[in-house]
Amino acid sequence: MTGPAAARLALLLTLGALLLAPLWLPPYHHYVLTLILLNVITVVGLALVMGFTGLVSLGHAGFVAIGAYATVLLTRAGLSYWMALPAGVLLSGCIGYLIGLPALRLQPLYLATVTWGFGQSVWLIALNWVSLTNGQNGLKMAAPALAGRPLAPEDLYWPVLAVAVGGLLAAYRVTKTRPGRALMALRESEVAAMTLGVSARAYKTLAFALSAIYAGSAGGLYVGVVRYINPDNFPFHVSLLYVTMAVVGGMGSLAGAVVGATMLTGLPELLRGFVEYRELIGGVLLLAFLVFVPHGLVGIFGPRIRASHRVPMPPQAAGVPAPSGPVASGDGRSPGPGTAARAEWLRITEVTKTFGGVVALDQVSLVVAPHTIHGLIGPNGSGKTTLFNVVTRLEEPDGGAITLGEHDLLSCPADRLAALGIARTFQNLEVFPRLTVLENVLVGMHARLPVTMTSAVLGTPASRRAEAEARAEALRWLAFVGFQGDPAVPVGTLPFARQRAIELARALAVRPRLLLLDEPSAGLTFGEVEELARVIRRIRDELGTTVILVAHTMRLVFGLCETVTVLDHGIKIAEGSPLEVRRHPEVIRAYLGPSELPATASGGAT
Amino acid sequence: MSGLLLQTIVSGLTLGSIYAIVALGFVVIYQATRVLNFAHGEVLMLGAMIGLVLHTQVGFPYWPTFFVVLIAVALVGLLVERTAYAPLASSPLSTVIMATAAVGQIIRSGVRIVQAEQLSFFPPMFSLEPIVIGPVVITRLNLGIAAIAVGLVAIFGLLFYATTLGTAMRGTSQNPTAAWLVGIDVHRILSLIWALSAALAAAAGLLIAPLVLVRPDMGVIAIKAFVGAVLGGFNSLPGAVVGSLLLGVIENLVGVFLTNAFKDVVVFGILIAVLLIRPSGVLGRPEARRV
Repeated sequence: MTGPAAARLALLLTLGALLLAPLWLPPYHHYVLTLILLNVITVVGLALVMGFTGLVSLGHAGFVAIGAYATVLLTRAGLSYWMALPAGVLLSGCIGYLIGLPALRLQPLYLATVTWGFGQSVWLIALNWVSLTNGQNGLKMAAPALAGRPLAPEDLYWPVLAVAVGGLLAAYRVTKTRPGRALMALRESEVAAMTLGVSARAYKTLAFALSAIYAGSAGGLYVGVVRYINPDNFPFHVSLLYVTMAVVGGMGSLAGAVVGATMLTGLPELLRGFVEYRELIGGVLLLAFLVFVPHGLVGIFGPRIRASHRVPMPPQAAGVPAPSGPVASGDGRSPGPGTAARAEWLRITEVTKTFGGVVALDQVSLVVAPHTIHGLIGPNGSGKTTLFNVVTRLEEPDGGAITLGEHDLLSCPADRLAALGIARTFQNLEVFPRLTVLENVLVGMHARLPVTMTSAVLGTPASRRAEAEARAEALRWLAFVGFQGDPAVPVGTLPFARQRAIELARALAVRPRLLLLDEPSAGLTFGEVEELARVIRRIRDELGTTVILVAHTMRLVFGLCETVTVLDHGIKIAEGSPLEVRRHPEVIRAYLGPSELPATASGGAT
Repeated sequence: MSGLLLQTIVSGLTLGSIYAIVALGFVVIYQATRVLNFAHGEVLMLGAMIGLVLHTQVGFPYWPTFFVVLIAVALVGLLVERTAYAPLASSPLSTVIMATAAVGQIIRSGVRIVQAEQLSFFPPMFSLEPIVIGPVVITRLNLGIAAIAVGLVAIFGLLFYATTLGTAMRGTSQNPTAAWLVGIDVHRILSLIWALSAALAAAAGLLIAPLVLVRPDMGVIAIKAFVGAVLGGFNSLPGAVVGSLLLGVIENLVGVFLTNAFKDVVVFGILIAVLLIRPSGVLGRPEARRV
């Protein structure tokens, strides 16, 4: 029996053991198991924020506390436990959303602080708002009742188990589909994710809200079990304990969250009598794992797990690029509003961009005809990449206008451009190194995949179908750029030229009508440049995509482009056919320097 | 201006001057490494705790205790750098932040185990005799604490801005590779920065020790200094100092005129508001985004 089947059997056996646990576990161990499951719920939620999205939360105990206190207070106000619990969870989720808002523009440092301050505030409020929370003395809650009969604490095991299993399943589905890939893409390279249409705002706040829902559920269920609550359950070191669980198990993996929560809940409960040492051991464990085992216990087995999920490449991938490109298959080309068949001109009008005192772009105007390859050359620092950044909305110009067809690009945020059919690659390569080859390309389809967080969690047939079709299409894009190899390996493990190819496939997966390639030939060998030239030509001819190409490899530019624009110190100094540009005196001067040095400089512009 | 208001502001400034020392410790590490040291508060507590034990239990003379504590805690700072920062220098920032939080927890729970529950006050360094200046009454102790704090900030400012060593530190914070290329021993400078930051925290711990109970979780004070630094601008030393003073005053005003039990909650509210509205702080410069 191989990988997935064995994993499935193991999961079924575990689930069976958990279902039968109340029959054979002694009461105390049964209680510990309940606590483990509660922490699994919280830490799975935390993993969504920390492991998958890469945002640190040092205040998750605050969300647990909100779920718990809200549930207790609402039942004391007369609501049934089964009504109070979801209300508390909802409240926690809403507050998580609010806490996630500052995450948008903050560096990890500030976010860690906001969550820390949040956790501390919740604890202080619980401690000091005596009229509401009864302060240090805490609050008691009546036993939850079902059909008029009060439940024993151990009966709550069932809802806890149900939420833990359901929560894990939901998290698994999210991480394997479009919303989860968006979260991971933001973690790996926010800039690249944005250019592919991932809204950092939506997804980071969503991750926090979701995470808070998990934590709030754990809190609300916890009070159902123990029927008492006080602020001692939620000080800072509890938040840090959740972090420790995620780290020890292995961040960025749901299995890690389960392992970490199980070990660090189970062990201390069984090692009673060392209460005062628990925090110390927790701190030492956290530090030791961060330094020595950064991928956690699960990470030790990581490579093997990954290898068992190989995705076979379609047969046409072997050897020559696919004869039938992705265009021929599927629904034709409909990237966003309008079709690529429509002739849409890119017009850049008098765009200026300064950085401090440096003028990176000085009133640059440029018109790019549809279905052409337009070259953009110039010495280093001439403003080529800045122009790309301005067009793709990563930099705000000081003045000017940019339109594609009738769309005013300057009124679009960066993460809307993918939907308009604009894609780019980066000079310094912005792949998502820890995502697999296939996942990288799938992120390129983010803007047009009809899979939402809700449909992913529910696993609706439509979303499954969309995901399956997306995978097939992604493989075709990989074949299109000539990628041969295992699409299930992390991109970071591949050689540079392959990473470039994957970045290109990812940009093509946007189905762009305008594609901006920033030095795609940098670092490639002679043969690889030849192959690249062939692919770029096919992008124009077969896909009908307009290409703007920045390159220092003149052979590539002059061999491919209909029109070439030359920038120098932010000023457009020449434009025309490759032949005209090559002979232009300004261009020669810009590349070769003042005319005193003609002899030494001949042939330098390559 | 009413006497109470003025009195509140003055005592707020005293508190703020202590925050300023703590904030400097945060900011100098942040500038050099982009790391927020979550163990800073525990280092502060360690300073107060070692001082208390050395003076009241071992019977070490009063002022020499200060020097011993500063040196001992500076060494602890070095240790933190060696264990939580250096091995993780190439890891994501969030990992380093978690590591410092882990170190903080180790220090805090370690002290709790060793010192159990022997809480006490550190004897004051100046008399509690009140001085009346117009409508304001201030004790010699508070005045002295504020004076020492201001002096420390000044010395630190001179060191950072007017010495070769300070220039090397600033160079290292802005671009470690370039600093290394021009012959600065970056590792040594980083160690020095962590040690210096720890010594500043210890000084703050000793200064505040006569005013609050010395106990294992007194490090919470550092959170407020941090808020002060954010308020003023985390990438500017003068900003951090001004922000800390401002926070001391705000905190006292809230405590006296609004709510004492929730003044810390208000402080966190301010933190979140500042981060949302003006992430670079009141005096700080916005940081450039790189593409």
